[in-house]
Amino acid sequence: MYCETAEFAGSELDGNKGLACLHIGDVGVSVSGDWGLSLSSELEKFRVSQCDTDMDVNVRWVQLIHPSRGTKIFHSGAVWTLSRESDELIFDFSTPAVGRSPYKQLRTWDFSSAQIHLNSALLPRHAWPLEYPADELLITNYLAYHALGVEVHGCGLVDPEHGGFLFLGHSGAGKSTTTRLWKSAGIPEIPSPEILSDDRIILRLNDSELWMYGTPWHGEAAFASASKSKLNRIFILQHGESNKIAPLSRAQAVGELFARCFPPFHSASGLQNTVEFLERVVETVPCYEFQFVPDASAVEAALSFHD
Amino acid sequence: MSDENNEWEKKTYEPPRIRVISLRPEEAVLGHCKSTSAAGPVGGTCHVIGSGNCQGIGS
Repeated sequence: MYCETAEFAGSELDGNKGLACLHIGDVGVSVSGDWGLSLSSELEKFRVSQCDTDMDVNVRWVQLIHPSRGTKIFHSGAVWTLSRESDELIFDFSTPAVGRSPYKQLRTWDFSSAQIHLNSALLPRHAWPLEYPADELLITNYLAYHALGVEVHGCGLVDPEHGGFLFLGHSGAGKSTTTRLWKSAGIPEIPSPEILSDDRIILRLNDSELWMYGTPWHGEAAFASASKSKLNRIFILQHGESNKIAPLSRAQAVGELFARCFPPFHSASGLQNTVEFLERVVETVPCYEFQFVPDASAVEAALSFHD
Repeated sequence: MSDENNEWEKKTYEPPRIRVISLRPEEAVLGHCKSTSAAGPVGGTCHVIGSGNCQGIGS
């Protein structure tokens, strides 16, 4: 499907129809509905004037949202719960801070299209329809549902000379530190790399090549780019007493990648697609454990490393 | 049977080993926030409904 963005007259809600096209991880998203232009500054970076739409999202304001009475299939422990009614999936977003009713509800059959209802009694008029985590849930579930890719917990850097580097890690493993080190390595002969993200990267395979994409969902260093890069190897970050790079077997690598990705735990087929995609990833590029010390020597160690 | 095959037969059996890989559900499930200083995963749910007030969910 092909679409073009419409011009927005302003930010007033009443009678103001809108359409926005986003491109995240090579997924085209068209967002339409009876809401004014209101995207987060992070999502604005991923806005495109025209896009090939993979996912249609329609947004409506309603005065009341009833929580789904369907089968409860997942509770996030945070602001959203997931239910199933027939084959339809319903995400209810709620927080005690604004009341017991959902402030937002997202309904979808297969993540190729989705309906978002915003509760006008609870939300301000400038609310973002795709506010985190709704945006990220849509993209990650779309990728898993259609076996197209996976989002991982990592920082992605593109060195002008050496190409793409992906460093995966849990919180505290050193992703933001690594990002800052590369950004200000203090090595005159090394040009500053482009940072795709300091926290979330989408992986996809195109013609047997692995590509990484920046996402809007940044970390503490707040780097979020809509760019992409081909990837030749993956590093799993570990703090160490010296810089050391050791290869991982494919089985180890799949396990380590799975532990640092965002799979749809509510879906058996989505989990299977995720693991199978990760198997293809480690068949395509080698994975290494990278024990590093947090100074410029870690940058040099990664740059000078050869398989 | 050749010597080469005999050597192959004498290879020491190595039992399968279990490697434990830790999952962190609080990180793998989207929707938690870690700090109040930014939007996105770091502060996304801290800015629920655009209020700018940290709800402290999952932080």
